[in-house]
Amino acid sequence: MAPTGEDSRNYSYNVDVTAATTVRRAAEILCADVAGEMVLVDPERGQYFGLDDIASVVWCRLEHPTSVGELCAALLADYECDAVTIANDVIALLERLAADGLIEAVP
Amino acid sequence: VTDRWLCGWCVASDLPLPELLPWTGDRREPDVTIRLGSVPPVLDDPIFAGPVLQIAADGSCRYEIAAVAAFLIRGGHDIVVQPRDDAPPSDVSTFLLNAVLAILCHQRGLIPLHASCIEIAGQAVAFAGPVGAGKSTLAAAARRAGHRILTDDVTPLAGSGSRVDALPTYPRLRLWQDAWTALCTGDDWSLPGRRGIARYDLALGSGFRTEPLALTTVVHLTHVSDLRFRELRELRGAEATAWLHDHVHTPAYPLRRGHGQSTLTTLFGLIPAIERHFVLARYPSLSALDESLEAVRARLTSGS
Repeated sequence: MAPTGEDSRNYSYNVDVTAATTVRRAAEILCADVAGEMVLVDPERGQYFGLDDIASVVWCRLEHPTSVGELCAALLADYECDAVTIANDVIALLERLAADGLIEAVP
Repeated sequence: VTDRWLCGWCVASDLPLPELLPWTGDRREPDVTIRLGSVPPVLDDPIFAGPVLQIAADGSCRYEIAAVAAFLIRGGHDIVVQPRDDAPPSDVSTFLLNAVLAILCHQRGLIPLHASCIEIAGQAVAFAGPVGAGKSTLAAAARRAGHRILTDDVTPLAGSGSRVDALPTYPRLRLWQDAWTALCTGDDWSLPGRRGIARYDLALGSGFRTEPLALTTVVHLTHVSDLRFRELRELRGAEATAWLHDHVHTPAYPLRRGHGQSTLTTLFGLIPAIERHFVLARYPSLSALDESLEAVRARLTSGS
């Protein structure tokens, strides 16, 4: 139990993401379209994060828990790119989002 | 003393507050009460205690300007003022209608933007920035060009994701002496501003808009010292969020509040309804005001 008034959460999450991992948005994170770009806010930490176009697409697809394999397959259908590149990019992005506490792996 | 009007609230005040419009609405219990009284030197259970501002766990605030007055602000509706013996009333009301108003807004769940707000083409446009950025000066230039003014220095924002309104505050602009001289005519009626500080109050009269108005545009003001770096640049996403967050008035309050929804959460709920965010980097010259205003107006009416 954290002492009152202190935030003892560890904000550098090390999440090992593979094709079999299922991920979801962290519950407390807010998102909004701000003048055409997606922004995420962690109200507890008072931090905000800007998403580029592809990260926004991924974030939108994480409205419900989704496996990394499903996510890559969906993106492969929408974008003209090879499967290996998509998988590498998606995993790198998810690891960054997870490291910032914006998404989490579903146990 | 008659009741006064502020942001659409009925204000009962022991202080005369000639800056505010008289209340002309229905008879009702006041929304905000301002009383003369004793303000304790220290709050009972402060969760934040700075040299000027103390905040208690329940959100009550004590705000003091040493030579002027101490203020106790509670529940978003109750203000106790203890003026210093020789403080001129206009000095007391200056702080009451600035930082104290901003704290009151926080307590009422409104976002007080550090901005002066004008009406352009049926939309509210806020010029935001720190002291000296040119908020009031640009508003005075807009008034001269025939635009109505909603607020000076504190712009209360109310609303939700689909619409955010700027609430009009009071019909005054507070100008530096040079801006006053350049922008005001002999017909303009003024009062001296704070003692020892060359600031002048411009009474707006019919140039004041009393109805709330949808805020579509925020223009963040900065200065450049080299004319080549002047720009009006549109902001998006996290950058627009960061500028807006930086220009919330009285930022210690949201950071230190120990209860309720955080200011960032409230602010974030409002942002999607604001269509355009700009940074206006301007050379701080009175002669370039109309050019800056015209640049903003052109971007609003171009629809891009």
